[in-house]
Amino acid sequence: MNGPETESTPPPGAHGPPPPEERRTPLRRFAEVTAYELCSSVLIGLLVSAFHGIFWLNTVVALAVLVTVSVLVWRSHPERVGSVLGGATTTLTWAAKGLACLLAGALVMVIVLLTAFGVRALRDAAQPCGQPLELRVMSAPEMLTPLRAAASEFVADRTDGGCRRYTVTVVPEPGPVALYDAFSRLWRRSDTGDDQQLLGPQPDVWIPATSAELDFVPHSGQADTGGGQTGIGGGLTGTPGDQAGGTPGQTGAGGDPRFRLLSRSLGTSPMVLALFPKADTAVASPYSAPLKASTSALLAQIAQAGVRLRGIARPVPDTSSAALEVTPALYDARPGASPAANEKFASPPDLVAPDAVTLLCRFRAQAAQGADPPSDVAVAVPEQVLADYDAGRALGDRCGRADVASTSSARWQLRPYYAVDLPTMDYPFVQLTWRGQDTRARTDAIGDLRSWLSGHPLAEQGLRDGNGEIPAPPEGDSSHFYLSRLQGMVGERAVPPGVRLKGAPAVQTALDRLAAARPKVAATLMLDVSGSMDQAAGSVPAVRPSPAATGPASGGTRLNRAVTFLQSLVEQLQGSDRVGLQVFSSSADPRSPVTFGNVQARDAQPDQKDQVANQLQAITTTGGDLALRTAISGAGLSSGREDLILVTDGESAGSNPGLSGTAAWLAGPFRSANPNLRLTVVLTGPAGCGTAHIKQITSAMGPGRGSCVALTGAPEQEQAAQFLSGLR
Amino acid sequence: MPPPSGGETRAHEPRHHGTHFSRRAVLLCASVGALAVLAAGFVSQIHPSAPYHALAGDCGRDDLVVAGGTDVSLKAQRRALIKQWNASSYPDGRPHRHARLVEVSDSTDLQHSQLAAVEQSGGCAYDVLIMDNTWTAQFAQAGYLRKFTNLSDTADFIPAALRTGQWRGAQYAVPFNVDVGLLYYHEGTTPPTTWSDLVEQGYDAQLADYEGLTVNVLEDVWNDGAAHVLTGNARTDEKALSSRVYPAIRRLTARVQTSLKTSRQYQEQDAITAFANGDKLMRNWPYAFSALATEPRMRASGDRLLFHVAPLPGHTVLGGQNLAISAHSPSPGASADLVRYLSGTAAQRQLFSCGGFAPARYSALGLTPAERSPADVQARSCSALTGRPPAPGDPDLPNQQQLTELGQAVVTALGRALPRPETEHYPTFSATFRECSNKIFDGTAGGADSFAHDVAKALNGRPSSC
Repeated sequence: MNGPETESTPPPGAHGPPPPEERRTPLRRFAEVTAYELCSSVLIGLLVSAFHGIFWLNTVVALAVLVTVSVLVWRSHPERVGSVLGGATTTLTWAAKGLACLLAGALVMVIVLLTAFGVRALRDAAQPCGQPLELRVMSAPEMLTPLRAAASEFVADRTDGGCRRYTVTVVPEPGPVALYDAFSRLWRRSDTGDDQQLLGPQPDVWIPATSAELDFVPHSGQADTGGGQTGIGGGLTGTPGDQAGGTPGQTGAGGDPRFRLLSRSLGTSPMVLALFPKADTAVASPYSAPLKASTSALLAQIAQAGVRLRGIARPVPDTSSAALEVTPALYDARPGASPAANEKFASPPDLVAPDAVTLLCRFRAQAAQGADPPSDVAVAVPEQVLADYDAGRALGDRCGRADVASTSSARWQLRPYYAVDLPTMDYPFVQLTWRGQDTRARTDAIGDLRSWLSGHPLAEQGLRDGNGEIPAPPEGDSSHFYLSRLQGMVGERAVPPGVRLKGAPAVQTALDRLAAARPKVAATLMLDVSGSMDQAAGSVPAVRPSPAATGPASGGTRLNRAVTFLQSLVEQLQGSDRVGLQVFSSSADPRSPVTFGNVQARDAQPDQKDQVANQLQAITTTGGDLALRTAISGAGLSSGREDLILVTDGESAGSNPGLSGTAAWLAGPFRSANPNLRLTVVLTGPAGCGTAHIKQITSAMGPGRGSCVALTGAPEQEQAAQFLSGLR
Repeated sequence: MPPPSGGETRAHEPRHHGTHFSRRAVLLCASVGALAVLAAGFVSQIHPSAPYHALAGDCGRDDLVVAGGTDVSLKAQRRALIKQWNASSYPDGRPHRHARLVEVSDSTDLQHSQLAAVEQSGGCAYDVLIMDNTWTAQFAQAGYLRKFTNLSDTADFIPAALRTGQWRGAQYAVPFNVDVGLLYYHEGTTPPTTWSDLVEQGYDAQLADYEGLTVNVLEDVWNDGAAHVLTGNARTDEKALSSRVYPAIRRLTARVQTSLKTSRQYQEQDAITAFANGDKLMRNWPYAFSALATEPRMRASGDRLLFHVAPLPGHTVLGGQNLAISAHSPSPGASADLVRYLSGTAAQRQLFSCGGFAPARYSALGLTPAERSPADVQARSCSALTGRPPAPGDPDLPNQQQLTELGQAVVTALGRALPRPETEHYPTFSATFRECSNKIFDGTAGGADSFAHDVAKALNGRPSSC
């Protein structure tokens, strides 16, 4: 190199003065070339317009024109052609060099930018992590274990430099009836004006047990369909497999929350009837098909094997979607029996539980105590939770892992039986959007979770695929709980590799059949609001619904315990039931309509339940004890079949003078005046049902008409379910 | 572009035509290329994506919303305080803005989930947040909280409690109530005076797999050779974790398999039940006192109790709940007034005497910052404070003497209380610490170095499984 010259530039004077053509500027030469090109193009354009339909002919004509024009020009102006060619060569060389420099500059900048990003990434990696986005997921109690396991993997997979991008909290749903009310009331359990109780965190994602459950709840906040296929939720946005679900952020004109179906199904799980080993040994047959044509045929097989079932342990249908969905099939399985008899058969009184995990955990507790499993009941639960139970996994929030190798666990193992008419849970994936909590980041995170679940299906956690098939687990994968584990435990033949999908019935249909089959409840709730109800309820065996961190988490006061129990009870009533509320103390007259807390008895429609729940929430203690006789005499009773539910701490004997007279009054005039009345005293503690004056009062009503129940530290929903079952 | 040329080229002038390409042209082309890439990168970063039409919240509401957990205080004192605020007015006669308590759940984890999700979304649904004091760092760092700039009368707050509301020198939250570990013992039992004696004898601890496990293990670690490790904002190095914390947990393992075995199933309420059933010693929070005081098995004739309470013989975790103002509150001024009301002396006194919550103000216990000896504690029973006598036949429990005993134990314990690690990733730390502790108890954990590495990572928000 020599100064600013380049190798392509000859030294000055080496070839003498340049010819005139070379003295023409590149711009002029470029203009000349362009003129020729333009002429050629015009000519070609004119000619090819005649042959525009034939591609190869166009090409030939174009080439011919170019050659002809070039030859003519070369022959007529050879020096000009030479000049043009030279100019073109020079221009192209210049352009190539320019392009090379351009690319080199671009490359340098790319390297600089990549280096900058790399440095920033390294610096970020050394920084403390940012805050992960909080996702709230709600599903059926029996799905908590598989969903929490999947969510844990999702969170671990989606990390940036070891930092979590998300945290996922999975909470149980309260059941179809309570959900209906919750979605109608902006997720409030009660609202007194000064105080609102939520049903828990407002979920971003809801994975109901069935599409029917999704259809059932009110969709006040439906999103616009945006031209998408109508979902199963009666107008929900999204199409099956449409993970993005169209344009994020479509705005619903309705209320809160907005529903958006992102997937019709995350997997399937059929309802099964399961038997404990003793009964199973009698019923199991290598010649019998694992999948029966009907539940009726399955019950016949069980009966033919000599197993006399006294009932089918099914969770309470009002609090368990799976139990509700299986109820019509259980009724239909005994066509000769009355609806009431069918319901009784499906509700063994000693096996009432609000959901499948509570029921199965009770079995585990009995197994740990060394008890023998019952051989005269079948258990109706989803196949997936049965697999979790047999595998010894934790069961939702209700109980931890169990040692499946122990003898007691083996004795309590459950073996599933299948029938074509038992419904299949299909677990749709629904995004819920709440006002004020709607951000692109949250929507993207929900989409990311949905997308991740496509690549990591819940078949890894014990579900079947969308066709009802059991997928083969990957070789050597022992960290997941494929259904093949269940096959390994109870025998491959016992678990059919594929089941025919049977959609769940409409929830309202199931509720109607349930209401027709069981007696209605007409409950007059009487709540003691005397000052003593402000005392602590005392310590009782506690079962925690979920892990709690530090801080007060006691059972609270007697009034707290009474109120939460009654609120759960009211939540579980159906519209055909009847409920009213009266409070009593020395300064709260149960008869007076102006006494705060009194709600006249009406059908348990949502507005009535709402009113009772709100009044319960707002109640405070006032005055001293009112004698129980006075309270009972103030009850607003009707002439029909009715339950008077007296919730109290038991008061003291001193507050109830003349007990023998009270007992005589109850056994005589009161009983006669209310021939269809049952009295149940519900004690908040610390007094128990053995307390003398309580025993005297309940005994006076006579057998079957007077009873006492002491509340415990178990979840109020479970206690209310058991209590309500007893009333029915 | 080729440089312009015209006329004769001078002898020593560079050629400006033909294929000549000057350095200036090279630089020009290279610069254009570089700038094009830079522009493309810039545009790709700022390119507006499709607009997102969010469901907007109702930020035009008139009332104040206080969000927290279920009010499980005795006699629902938090609800009572909200009602009192609504029924009262400012000194100049202006009525208070109406307030509403939103109770999310009785599980602290679920409270955290809801509050964090709403604040992350920039939602204006809540004005005042009732938070576990370990959340301050996370919420403040993430910008969910508004700073208190003119907090008055701070000297009356117990300093350690007030510090739990601070993050990087600023006050983001004010104590609502404090919690310290206390030792409950049956009448006739001599409480151990050293931590080693306590562990040796065995007591009802809370070692189930929840936050209580973190609390109880930290207390043991602090009292077994690792005081001032994993506490406050002092960063813990891996060496201290491996040489002091890990060995302490290993030593605790022997007790977990013997004298503390049943406690692995216990949360707070389980421990209360076990204590009421006859166990001699229990570690629990102050609220357990009121719960036990009304338990018939724990009462002799009249209002005499069959148990006593004392501070733990060593360091204890400083727990409690704070009040903070949401950064997105539409009414920050009125919210600050409400926080002052709820954290004032009268409210704290009511929460202590009637609700069973330990106060965060000296004045609520009859003390001053200058005179704060446990012996000076003065407490009043709920009936005396509110003027509402107990129902006929019911004892006034806990009475003044019993509340004074509790207050003295609380004040003494506060002098030894240490906060848990102050980190914006406390949930990650706690989950990792629990998992590691459980694995050490079960004998499935890696070595000390692995423990130290994983816990140190978790303090920075990187989860691990030991």
